[in-house]
Amino acid sequence: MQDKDLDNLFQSSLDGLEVEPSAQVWGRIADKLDADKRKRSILPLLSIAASILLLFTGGLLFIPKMVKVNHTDPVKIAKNEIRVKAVPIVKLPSVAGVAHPQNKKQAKAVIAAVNSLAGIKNKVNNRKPVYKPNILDTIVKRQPNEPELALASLGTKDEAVATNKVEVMVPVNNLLTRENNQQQPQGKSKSKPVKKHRIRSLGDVFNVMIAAVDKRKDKFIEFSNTDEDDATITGLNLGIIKVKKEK
Amino acid sequence: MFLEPKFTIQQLIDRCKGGERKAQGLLYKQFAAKMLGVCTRYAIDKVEAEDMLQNGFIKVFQKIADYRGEGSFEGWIRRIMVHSSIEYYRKHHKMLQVVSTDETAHEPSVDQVAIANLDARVLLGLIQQLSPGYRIVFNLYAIEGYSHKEIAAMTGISEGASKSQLSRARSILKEQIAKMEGKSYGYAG
Repeated sequence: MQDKDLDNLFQSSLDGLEVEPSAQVWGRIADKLDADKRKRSILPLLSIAASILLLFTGGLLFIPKMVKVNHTDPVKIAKNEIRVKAVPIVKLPSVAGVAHPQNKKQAKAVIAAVNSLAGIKNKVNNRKPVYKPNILDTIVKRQPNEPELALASLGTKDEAVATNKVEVMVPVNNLLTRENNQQQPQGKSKSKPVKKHRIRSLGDVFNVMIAAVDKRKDKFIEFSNTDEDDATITGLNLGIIKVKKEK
Repeated sequence: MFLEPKFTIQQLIDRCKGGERKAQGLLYKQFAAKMLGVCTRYAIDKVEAEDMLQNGFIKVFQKIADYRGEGSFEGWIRRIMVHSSIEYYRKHHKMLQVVSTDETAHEPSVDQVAIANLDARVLLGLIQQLSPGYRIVFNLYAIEGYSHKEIAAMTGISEGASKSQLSRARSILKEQIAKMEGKSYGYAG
């Protein structure tokens, strides 16, 4: 058989060959065409969405820097205010409380100078707890100081007064530091209930998440925190444009 | 042949250019069987052929706006199907140059018939048993009528490789036919 004959044999019988495709082939083609169409229609939308997002994030990067400067100062002032207010309330009674026993002490010291031996007994018993120079001693603990001061004043009255003066100075300082220490937990306990905000709705969840990122007073977006399920937007802050729904 | 005779091919093409799904479906119905016949010659089986047909038709609808009405539309679709078939082999069989010599080891599972009675189904079976490289070159040269130069450009093999693959394909096919003739004679005798 010649090459040409072979080619002709195959060409004549196979060139017009028809094979019926299975039914699902068209379905697959249509699906692919749909997917392509969707891709083409989604692409411009995606690019628009992406550019809007880019503008927002770009805006957020600029705004917080400006706001932070204004924002940190009020916080400091607020803290100072709490201290100033709180200190006199706690201080006055406690200082008075310490001052009184010491005044009494002076009177005791005069008496003690007469019965000095009786005082020594007290001293031996009381010394150990006395000389723990713990700044944060409570008032109750400091009371054992009194007999010791009484002994110290054995020499002269002036000396006794002098030491008392010193002693008075120390407790006041101590008190101040203690008050500061007390102050801090107090401040915390005051601010805690404000921060401790129960999450009641979906809107709250969003608000908490946004608050973690956006530290401004008016958040980038705020949702209603009612118990209703649908979270409605109550505030917008795009830097230049601020919208807030009054509650 | 037209399921909806109110449309001519040209009308369908115009509507397909507008991306109309119904027109695409009608155009597909018009040419699917013929084009699957083309793809089947390049494929091992019907599954592979239908994959080629699917890819080919997606390309047809994507490129239909480029069809300017020069030459027959069937010829245009057919060229896309042939390219789609070659592309399929590029993707799935990697190298067209790979030559396997085990074709002769397999005997075509067709009825033994005299050469005069060899129908299309038997001849198709013979082509499908060739290795992909031989099959593509034989199809392109003997049935489609491309030159070795064109085949080289389409497949990426050299003209020399195209020629040698064609001659190997021919000799294998001749062998197979001779075997079948001998067997049919044997049965007849």
